[in-house]
Amino acid sequence: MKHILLTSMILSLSTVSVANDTASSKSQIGNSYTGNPADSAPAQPDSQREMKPVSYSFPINDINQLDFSQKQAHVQSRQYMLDVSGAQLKSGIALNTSAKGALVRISAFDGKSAVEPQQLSLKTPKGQVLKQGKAFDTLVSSSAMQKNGMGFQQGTTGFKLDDTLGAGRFTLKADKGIASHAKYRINVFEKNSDTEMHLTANKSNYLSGEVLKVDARVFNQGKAEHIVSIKGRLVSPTGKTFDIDFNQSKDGYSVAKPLDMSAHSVPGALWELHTEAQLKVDGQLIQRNGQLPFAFAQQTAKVSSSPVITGQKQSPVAAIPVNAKTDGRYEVRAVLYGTDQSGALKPVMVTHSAANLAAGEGAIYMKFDPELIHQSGVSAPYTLKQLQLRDQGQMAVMSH
Amino acid sequence: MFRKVLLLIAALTFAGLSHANTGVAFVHGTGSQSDAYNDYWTGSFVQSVVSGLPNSSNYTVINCDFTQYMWTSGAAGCLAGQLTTFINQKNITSLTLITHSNGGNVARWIMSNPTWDSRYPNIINRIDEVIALAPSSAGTPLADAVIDGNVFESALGWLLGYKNDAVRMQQEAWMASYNANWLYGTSGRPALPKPFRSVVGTDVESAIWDGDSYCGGYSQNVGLEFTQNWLDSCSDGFLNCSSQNAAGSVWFYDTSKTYGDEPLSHAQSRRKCFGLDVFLRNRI
Repeated sequence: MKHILLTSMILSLSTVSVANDTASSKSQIGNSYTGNPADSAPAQPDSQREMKPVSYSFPINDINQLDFSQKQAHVQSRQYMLDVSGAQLKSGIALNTSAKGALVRISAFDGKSAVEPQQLSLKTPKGQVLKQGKAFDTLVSSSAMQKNGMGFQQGTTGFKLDDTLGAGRFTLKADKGIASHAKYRINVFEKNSDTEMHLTANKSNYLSGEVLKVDARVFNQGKAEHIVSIKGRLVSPTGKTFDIDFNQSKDGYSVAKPLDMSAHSVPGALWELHTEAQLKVDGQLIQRNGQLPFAFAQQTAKVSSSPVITGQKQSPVAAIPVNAKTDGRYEVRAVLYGTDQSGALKPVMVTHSAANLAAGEGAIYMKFDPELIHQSGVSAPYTLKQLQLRDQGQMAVMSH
Repeated sequence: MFRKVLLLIAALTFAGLSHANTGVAFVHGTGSQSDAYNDYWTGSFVQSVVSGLPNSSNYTVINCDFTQYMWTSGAAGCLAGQLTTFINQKNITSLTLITHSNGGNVARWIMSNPTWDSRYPNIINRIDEVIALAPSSAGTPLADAVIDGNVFESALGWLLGYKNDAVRMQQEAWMASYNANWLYGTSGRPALPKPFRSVVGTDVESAIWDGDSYCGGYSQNVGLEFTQNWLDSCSDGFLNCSSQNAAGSVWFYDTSKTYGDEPLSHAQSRRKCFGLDVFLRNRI
């Protein structure tokens, strides 16, 4: 019993470990990190980029449940947006819906000139005019919208069209109390609609010089709908925009845009493809807007050749040759496999190792946790799989 | 002699365990906090929870700027700094993080990217578990709605207008990208190095005649009921259940444990509502 208890304690204390980074490289900068609990790292100024090499290992869960492939980027949309003026709202704007119960928000560009639901009348597809918000079964004033704490912009109001009004072409009209020169964005979310736009990119991470490939399709109950018109633009994390062209494809439209612009931007923030499509549903024009995010970064480094694993049979070290175009902080991460008694390769741990590299040929050294190796019962030969290189300065994946 | 050495090792090991110094850190959600103890959690909630600690002074309430992206120095960097100070000052050897909402993402960032900052490994090693109250692990369609309706962006460029990168980050497709590339613990990804257990809120009650609606603030719950229209039938008014249970494992779904089988709205899952504080107290 005592043995079991001691064993379980040892296991529980060693499930996560930090590999001492004692390996050196001519291109590594800074002191090694030791994750000994007794050696607490002092707090550093938040603005300071990490300079120390750091390595960390932890056990891998069931490898058969894991998928390391690069995923597609995908969004679907049942919403659209319109930008209108106060004058347009006073004369009445078309609000087309494809399903009952649309949720509508109106946001004032200036954050002040809110249009309260009681200031609105609605002409239904059957010609009935409902005034002072009587067409709505949920009304949210600008003050209530702020109180809900969701972060909606000031000057935003909302309402839900009464389900009994059905769908079709509505006319939304504001009373004379609003300023003609004010500008508004109207968002219409059709929660109950079967008409859904799908934007799918072939992957979620792009590097400079690669081609962004996106398919745009609209489905209604699984059937592809005819898109009457479509337009889009790329938006960088700093708000810079780039025009793009859609080309008609078999059952929708597609984009093939070489990413030849500078990727220097906000680290980690995503670019977006903003798309607006018009289509006809039961003879009525319906709009859909969607924003597809993807990562875009400069290729600043590559794994230049195969990893070299050396060391004792219980304490391997892997050298990952990295060719860096620019000085920076780079990370390699991989799953270490060892050989079990039957001769089969067995996954043991996930290891991340990062170091600051100077431009040129260098290496990042991965040291693995001997306790995890011991627990797994494997020994040499070892191999690395799912090796990835990342640029932490850009917060970008350099290779999958 | 050999037996004596073994006994000595065992005694030292037990002594070490008996002196495990347990601490709790409360990690707030989206927003920039300077007094999260009072403004975000409320003192009655915090004190009720920490009364379950062997040493009830072993807690810290994090105050960081979680309007920023989770990986920034103002978000995860700030959290790492405050946790490191807490660990060092109190000599904490077993740390429970109690996070709410986006605080779970910031904690997951640290556990998923241990080499980003040399303070991270020591923090991860001290963590016993993360109890993630209503974590926004897969984002929320409400973040998409907020960003879509943000006209400052199109009028002035978004750096000049509404600047809440944390909301932008919690759009569903953005979180899908971060979960696929930068965060662990979701389906198909490696498990996090330490347990991440969520409490999932499944509904919102805001009927004016229902006294339970007042726990956590009635006006907030009315707002939550409206925004529930953007969400699935199972949600806490801000997050779909499918987001709250997307990472790690589920500790419990609210009504399976709460007093009176009451659901925990997003505002209530950080307050002394329906026994939540007691469940946390008993767990730490």
